[in-house]
Amino acid sequence: MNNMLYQSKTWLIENLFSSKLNIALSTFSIIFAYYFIASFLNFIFISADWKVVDVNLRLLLLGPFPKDAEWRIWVSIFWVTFMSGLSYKHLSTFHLKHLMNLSPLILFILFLIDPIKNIIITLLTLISFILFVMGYNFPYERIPKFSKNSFILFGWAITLPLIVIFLKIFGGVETTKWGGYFLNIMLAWVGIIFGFIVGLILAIGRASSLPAIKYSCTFYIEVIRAAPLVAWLFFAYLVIPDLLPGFFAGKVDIALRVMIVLSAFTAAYIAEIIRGGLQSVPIGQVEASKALGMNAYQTTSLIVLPQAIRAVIPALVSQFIALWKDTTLILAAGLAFRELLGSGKSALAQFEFIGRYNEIYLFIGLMFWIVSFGMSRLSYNFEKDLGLNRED
Amino acid sequence: MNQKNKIIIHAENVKKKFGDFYALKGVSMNVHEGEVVVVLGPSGSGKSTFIRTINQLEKHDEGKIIVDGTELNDDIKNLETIRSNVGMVFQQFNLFPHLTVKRNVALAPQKVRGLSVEEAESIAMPLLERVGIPEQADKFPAQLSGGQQQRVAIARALAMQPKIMLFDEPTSALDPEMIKEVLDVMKELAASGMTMIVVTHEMGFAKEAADRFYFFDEGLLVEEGTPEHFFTNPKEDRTKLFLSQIL
Repeated sequence: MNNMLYQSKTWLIENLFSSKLNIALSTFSIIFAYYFIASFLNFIFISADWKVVDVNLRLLLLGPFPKDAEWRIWVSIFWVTFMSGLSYKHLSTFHLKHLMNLSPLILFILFLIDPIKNIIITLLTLISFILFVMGYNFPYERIPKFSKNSFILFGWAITLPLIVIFLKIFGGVETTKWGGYFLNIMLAWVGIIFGFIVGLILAIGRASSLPAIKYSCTFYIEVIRAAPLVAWLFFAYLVIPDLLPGFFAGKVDIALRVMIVLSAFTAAYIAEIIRGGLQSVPIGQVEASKALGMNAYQTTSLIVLPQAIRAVIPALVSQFIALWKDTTLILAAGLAFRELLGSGKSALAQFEFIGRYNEIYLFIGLMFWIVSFGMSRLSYNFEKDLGLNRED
Repeated sequence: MNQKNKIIIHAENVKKKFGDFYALKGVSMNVHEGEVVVVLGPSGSGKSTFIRTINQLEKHDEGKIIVDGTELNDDIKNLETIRSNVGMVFQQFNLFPHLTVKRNVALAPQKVRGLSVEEAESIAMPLLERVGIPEQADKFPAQLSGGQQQRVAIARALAMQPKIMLFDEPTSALDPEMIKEVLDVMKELAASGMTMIVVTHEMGFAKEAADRFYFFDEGLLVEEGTPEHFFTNPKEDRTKLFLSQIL
């Protein structure tokens, strides 16, 4: 024990207090960190009044989503947690450490939201957790038709369409009634999936040797990138309805238009990222593939694209995270419906919570951070997985 | 040796331009089935360009190339079929880095020949044994030495059961101590009766395995003949000069 103390003392002296300048810097940093952390913790646990979040939780998470249709969201969450459990097992093995890392977050949410008062939410969350565990232990290797990769890919591919249909059919909820955090998630999800698909097509198109395809793809990319996202959202809000033929009038609602704009906008950036990846694949790879008798489609899909996308995963994920946060811009464009940030502003407009900016924005920041960080961890695991298991 | 065998590659007055520069100024050559041909020449002589026209990685601008009875021209519908009958080994190996060694070898039989994964891999494993590295089957190319990578590349080309193998300076990118293991595989292949066109500076290999030599310079086929002819009595001054530099 004494030895350890002695060692840490030597370490401190060697690394933090070795010279006059180091002593000054270290002292200053320690004092600064102490005051910063102390006042931050003081705010969170003592001076903050989290009632504004507690009371408005439904508004923040779901916006105007009808209460009697909430079960549709819960069923969707169940499906997603089940699929997450499946994929989690594939990308990583369970360590208690993972749960430990999450525990501050879980404790903080429990601190914000009284689990006893919101007993139904607590129970449903527990069910999601059970489904996650079931997904983790799901014996998909017993289903003969699928390999495990294609099983997971197929599952995720049908997830988004399934959820959208499930939310809307049999007297479900119109997209204009979607709101809050849920809306951010849906917008980003749609934007990422369609942005990626269209972006991939554009990138390949731009590399095409046929001038008509090449220049129309280039034209699209340059036009989309020439204007900020907010301008395109105004375009969706004000201009598209006038441009549509009469038949569509009133049928393409604002949510759909925003989804189209987000996808189209993201696609242009994704296309350029993937183009960079395509250029990083040596020409020898194409020659080797051709020399084996593989046709242009096989060469692109089996040899070039896997390597190109692998090379640009970090840039792609950055773009996805940017899109995730850009979903708040639908507020700046003055659109009719409210995502998380807009719902937060509505909450702040309530008489009894006037001035509770810190609580609301901290909460919103936390909610955005959770998904951003999740995406970054996911991509990290995905990269590791590709390094070990790069099969089609 | 097998002059009675049928001609499998017939090239006639083949020309290739890059911009204004003629890389090939009219090359004619006949290769018989089972023959091992070594192509020599200084860099920039057009020897690599020539063998790349045989599987049309470079399109020739003029002249005629007939491979295994099919003329290579613009109308050709089944270029992929021709290519799958002509294996190629590159100087830089060009293995697919995102696939395991076994998948590198099995991919083309599976995708081009339409075999199942199991069938394709049952072709791949014996080939990896033939080139002496079955134990590396589940590794990725980057985990292998240069010599091992080039042997995988040979196995990959052989997996399509080609009638002709093209080697484009297969040992030039290798460390000296790894050259032998690749040449041994090539010698074994030559002995098995494969038709081979080899661009190389490895005169030991050439002396031992080649049936005919071709010497290229400045886009032209300058001299051809048996190994004995080249080693004892080359006619052209350019050939003599080149051989004196590399021997």
